[in-house]
Amino acid sequence: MKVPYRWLNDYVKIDKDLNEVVDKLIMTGNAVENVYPPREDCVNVVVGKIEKLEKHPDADKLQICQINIGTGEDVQIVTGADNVFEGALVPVALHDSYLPNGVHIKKGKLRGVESNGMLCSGEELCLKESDYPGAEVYGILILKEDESMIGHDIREVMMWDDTVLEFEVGANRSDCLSVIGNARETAASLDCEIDLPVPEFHEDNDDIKNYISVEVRAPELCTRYMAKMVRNVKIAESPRWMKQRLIAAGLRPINNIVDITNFVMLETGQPMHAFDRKQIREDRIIVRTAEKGETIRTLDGKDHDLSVNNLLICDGVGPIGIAGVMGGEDSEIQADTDTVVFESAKFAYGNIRKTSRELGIATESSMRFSKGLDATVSEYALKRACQLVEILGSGEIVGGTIDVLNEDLSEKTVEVTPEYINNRLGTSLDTETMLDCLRRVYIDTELKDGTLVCRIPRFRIDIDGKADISEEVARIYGYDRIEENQGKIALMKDEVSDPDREKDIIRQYLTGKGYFECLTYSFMGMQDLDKIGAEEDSELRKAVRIINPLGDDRGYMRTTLLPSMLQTVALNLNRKNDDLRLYEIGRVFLPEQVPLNGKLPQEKTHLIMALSEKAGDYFTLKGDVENLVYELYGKTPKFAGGGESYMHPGRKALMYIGGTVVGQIGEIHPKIAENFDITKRVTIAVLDLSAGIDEKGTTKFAEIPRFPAIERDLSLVVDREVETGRMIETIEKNGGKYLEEAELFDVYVSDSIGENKKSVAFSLKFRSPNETLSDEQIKKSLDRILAELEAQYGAVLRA
Amino acid sequence: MESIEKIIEEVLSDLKDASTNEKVSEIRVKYLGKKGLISGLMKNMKDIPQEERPVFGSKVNEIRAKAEAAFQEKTNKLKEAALELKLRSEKIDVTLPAKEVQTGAIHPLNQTYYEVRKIFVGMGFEVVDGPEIEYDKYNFEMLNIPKDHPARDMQDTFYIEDDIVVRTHTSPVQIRTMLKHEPPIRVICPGRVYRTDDVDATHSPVFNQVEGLYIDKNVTFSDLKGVLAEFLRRLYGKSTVTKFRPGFFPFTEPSAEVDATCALCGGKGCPACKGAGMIEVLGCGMVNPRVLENCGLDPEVYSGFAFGLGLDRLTNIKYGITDIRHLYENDVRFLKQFR
Repeated sequence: MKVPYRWLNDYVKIDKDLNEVVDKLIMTGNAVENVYPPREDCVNVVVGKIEKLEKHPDADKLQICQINIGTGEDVQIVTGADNVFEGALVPVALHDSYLPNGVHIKKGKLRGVESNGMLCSGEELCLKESDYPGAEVYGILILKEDESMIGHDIREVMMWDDTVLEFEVGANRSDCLSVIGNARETAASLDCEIDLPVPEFHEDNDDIKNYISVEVRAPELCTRYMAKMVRNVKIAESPRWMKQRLIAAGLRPINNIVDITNFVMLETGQPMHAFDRKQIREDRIIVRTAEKGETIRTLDGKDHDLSVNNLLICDGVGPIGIAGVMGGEDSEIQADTDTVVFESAKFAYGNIRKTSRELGIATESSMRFSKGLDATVSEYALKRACQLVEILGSGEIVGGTIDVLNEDLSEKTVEVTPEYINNRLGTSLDTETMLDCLRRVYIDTELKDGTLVCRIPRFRIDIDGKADISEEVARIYGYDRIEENQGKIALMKDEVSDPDREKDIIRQYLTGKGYFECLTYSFMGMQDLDKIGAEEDSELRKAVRIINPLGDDRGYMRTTLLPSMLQTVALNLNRKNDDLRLYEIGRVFLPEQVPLNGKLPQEKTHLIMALSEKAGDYFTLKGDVENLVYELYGKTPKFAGGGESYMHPGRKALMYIGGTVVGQIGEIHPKIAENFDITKRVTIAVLDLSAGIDEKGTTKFAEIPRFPAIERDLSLVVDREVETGRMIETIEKNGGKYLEEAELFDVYVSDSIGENKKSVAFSLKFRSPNETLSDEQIKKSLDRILAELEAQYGAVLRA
Repeated sequence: MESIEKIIEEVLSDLKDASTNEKVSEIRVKYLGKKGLISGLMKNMKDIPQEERPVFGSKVNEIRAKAEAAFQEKTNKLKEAALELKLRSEKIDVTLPAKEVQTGAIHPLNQTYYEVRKIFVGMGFEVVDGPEIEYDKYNFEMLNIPKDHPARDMQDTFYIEDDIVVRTHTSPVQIRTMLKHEPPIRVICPGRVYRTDDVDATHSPVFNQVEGLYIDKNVTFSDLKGVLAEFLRRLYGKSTVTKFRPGFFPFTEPSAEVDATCALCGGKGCPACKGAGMIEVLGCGMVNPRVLENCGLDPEVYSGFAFGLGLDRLTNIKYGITDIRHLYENDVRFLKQFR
């Protein structure tokens, strides 16, 4: 909220330097976001009074002025303007002054007569008629000010000297969405006096109730509705002081009645509304929720379809305003309005917040209502508006007040012991200090039997418990004065807890292998799944949908890391970063059902790795993945052809540990790559880190073998289709207790072996821990291996 | 006898001129081969008078030994010379650039996380984790933010269903921890969080937080200051100045926002800190008693503090990154800078 410093000073006697004020405000929790300084392009221009005018002896068109600038000694200035007269107050640019148009004024002589500066026109001060009356008159600007302004800087007259403070108001401090609220906080921060306006005014003996009735049909949504009437209204411009304050605070002046409601809103925080009485049909105001299908045109000319949640202000016929949000077009104040009804009400904050969101209308009013208001301010604001009507002479106030009240207006009391406060803060403040802090924030506190009995002022709707009181004490006493206690810092401990274990290993390992970690958004669009060729009924399409996404392409929580990885690869290839080793560790969100119907989805952590053609192929990635899996789980995964359709049909494999699929690896199908504008080969591996694989246990030492191994090589012929990895599995399964190791050492593909055949060679190692094995002892195992290989793969020993 | 003495001189003179191993072998054959001159001397024995034979014999052996030694010496010399030549020829320009070592990098955001984690783990905090799609009650209600409460405006939320949201902070992990564990609790909760912010240089709908929670008997605001000020000094350096200002969060009371000496300019003032020399780095406060009650903890017995910091912001400040979009774009030329 923007608070003009001058306005603040109307209520608080600030005797400190601005910087100090801002510092103190910040340290009591009033975040000053910005300080807009006064204008600095107009220097050394003051208000002067022309005491004496004489003709220039040598020039007909020039006059010599003696000007009182409040220093006791008149200044002589020669002017060419002819609209000046003795007794006029004028802007005087003294010697060595700067004007807003950039001109630098120095003393000099005009036709031999000394001139110590210049009298200014409105134009020279860059003023328009709307800025200051008479500003566009040809000649010197004649100021309509009091003589007490003589000698004052012209910036004061033009309100250019005002600093504006912008506060970031916490969601709990709706009372500070007002100048008065910030004045209270300023006084509390500086511990100085505050002088708030007392709203007094005269009204006639008539009664508003003779003209208007108010009925509140939704008392839980409108806990107070007050109204006053003003007649013989003269719609006019507001006085300059009011306009300047509104402008400085960021609002546009409109006319005296609307300006009064805005001024009071800024001053007190209570949004007000002014109705043109003749537009209130049947002289009735009804506060009710909207009916199904009802519509309203608001004063910005827009039509809105209403829902039954929306609270309306209606007359005898229909809606004339959306409560707390915006008035209807029809009841707006017009130039010919002669009777005005002021509304000052309190609506339930949740309802206003909802309505404002539903209809997409956010106003100064809805913003304040939806943060919560104090119902006693409704009354204060209404009276203040009447007082301003009287001060501005804008109309006559009709006696009587309508007040439909559905709320208890008593003050809250909170009881808390000084010990509680000290225990919470870690301080040892004495009771006097606490009482003093609380006094400064208007909390009337009594010490009764060792307990602080705090009466909370109505406007502090945020305070309702002991902890709040401790905060008030702390912020006024000063957070900076509370000591740092380091006794609770544990001794150095150097182990990292579980959830990070796998990620740590992966990052460490892959960094060493030359991979770069990527992070991409957790959203996806269905079009991403189209791009990776996911079938209509693919599980990947069973995704958590966001009700209010940032865009169609970010409408779901991702079920796969693949599309964003391929986008990352494409982006880099496109920028000529050809050598890519990338990975991302991220979550995928896998719902059991969509919509969720209250059940949270499963969240799995996946690792995706990608290699560009330049960085390596399937086997490069396979090696890295194998070793990584070993690092993670102490087990080497098995690979078997197969996997998702987005992979190259002949270059894809599933990875197993035990019987569990833990991931897959393969080259991206060229058609899928093309969807991402990738023209080179890309190899991808995906690892499910939530597959529930037991982590690597402690290594158990095994005796170093004392007896030699027997080695046997098997050279076999099989069909080319046969996967050697599975043959090794078969060998291991049938190798008997002495088989120590089975390795593939050669694959040879040639038509000389046979059409569609290949030769594979394995090297087997047998060993016993207790003796040197004989040929006899391993023959049985070898026979069984050969029999199985033949049965399962049609393998025959190579001749 | 003279001729015998002469032979050794001839050997030495022959060897002197020999410059290759082949030549040396040739000379060796000439003198020590089966038909060599020295071997041939023994054949002359029969021409020697009987009584002179023993003297002659030992003389020949002496000559043979001398010759052998000479050959050995020559061979060694040649070997040495050859080695020296090889070494000389193998000289490299040691100032040439090293072969490129292929190392990757952990994402800068996670590097920052590791620094933060190390400090808190060192202070006795444990890392805990929780879901990113979360119940409204854990993300808001139990944290003292009822439905339609003005504080909801502080966090623009992605909704999945009426009662399910994409978490806006990692605070629900704190709630889950309190529901599950008895105090003392000392945890940090790192992770992704989501707000409906459109992407620009300073906003991202996805960003990362590390929040922390400390619940025990007699935990005070003074402890909060002690722990967090020390954290910032360990993170940014011993001379870091901290400033605790009152702030507002619905789940803490009192609440504070913390500024620390700007890491980029060291407090002199720079664009990152808008010339202030201090920069806002975290939010914190004493856990609101209502939050404790919601989690079944008696606020008369237990108290504690909670804090939260934005990793993205911390990372950007640390590395001087001016546009948050770099963090999620993954251009390897960006990522390579953090090796």
